[in-house]
Amino acid sequence: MSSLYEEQKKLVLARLRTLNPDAKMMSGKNKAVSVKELIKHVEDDDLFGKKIVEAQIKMLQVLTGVN
Amino acid sequence: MVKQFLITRPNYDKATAYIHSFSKDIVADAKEDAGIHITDLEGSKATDLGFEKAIKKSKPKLVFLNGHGDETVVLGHNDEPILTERNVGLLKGKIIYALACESLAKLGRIAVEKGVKAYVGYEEEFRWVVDPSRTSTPDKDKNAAPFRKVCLVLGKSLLSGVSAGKSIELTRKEYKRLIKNYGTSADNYGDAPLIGLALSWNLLFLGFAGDKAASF
Repeated sequence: MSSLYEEQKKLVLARLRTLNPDAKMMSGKNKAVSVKELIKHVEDDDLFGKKIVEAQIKMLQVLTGVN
Repeated sequence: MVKQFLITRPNYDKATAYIHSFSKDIVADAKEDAGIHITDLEGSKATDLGFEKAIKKSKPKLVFLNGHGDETVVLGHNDEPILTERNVGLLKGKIIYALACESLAKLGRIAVEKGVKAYVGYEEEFRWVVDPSRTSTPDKDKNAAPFRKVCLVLGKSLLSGVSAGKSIELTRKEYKRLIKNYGTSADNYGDAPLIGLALSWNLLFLGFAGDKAASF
């Protein structure tokens, strides 16, 4: 994995760790996922974790006007 | 000439209750518009048989599917498959908007190969944030409000005759506006940052297949 991704992952984990660990996101599949679980997916580098990194980076791009 | 619009909106569990709630304003708009005839397959009417009969009878140009789904199916009432590769050919020449998880990834592409004009949907799961104290009354859930708003922007754009491509563009713009609102909240421990993340997730995976100029 590229070093850019590793840097993005660190940034995303730092951001997620500031949130309420018990807050949950729902999905159309009736699966709620907590912030605590999101952090675990990102730490484990699984497919869902990688997509969370992508979404959080997208959010930062929107907030900074990059995208 | 009156334009035909068909909507499926099951409502039998927590997720479909929210998605059903998100569709209410679109249904209200369609009912108020004298130029539109709506076929509303609500709740237990959203079955495979009911869907196919309604498609053949009303010949809608715009079809809006709400419910559970995955890469290969959109579901109706009680998880009954209502749109799969088997019957997607019935929707030839139509514009489809599926508020259902993942269906754009495969089913949407197959639909276009089989003649659907445009398929608007999500490549991944559609996500939102709820207020746990409001899950029995989704209409009153303020955490769900931004997600309801983007669904309304997309649904209303398509319904008012804006092209599929432009409707996606307007919806992405609304996602970005909402992300800026929620993503800059100073209250890290509240729900706003997670709402911002869920909006960003949906923005990332919203898309369409087919003719971007297709319009209702």
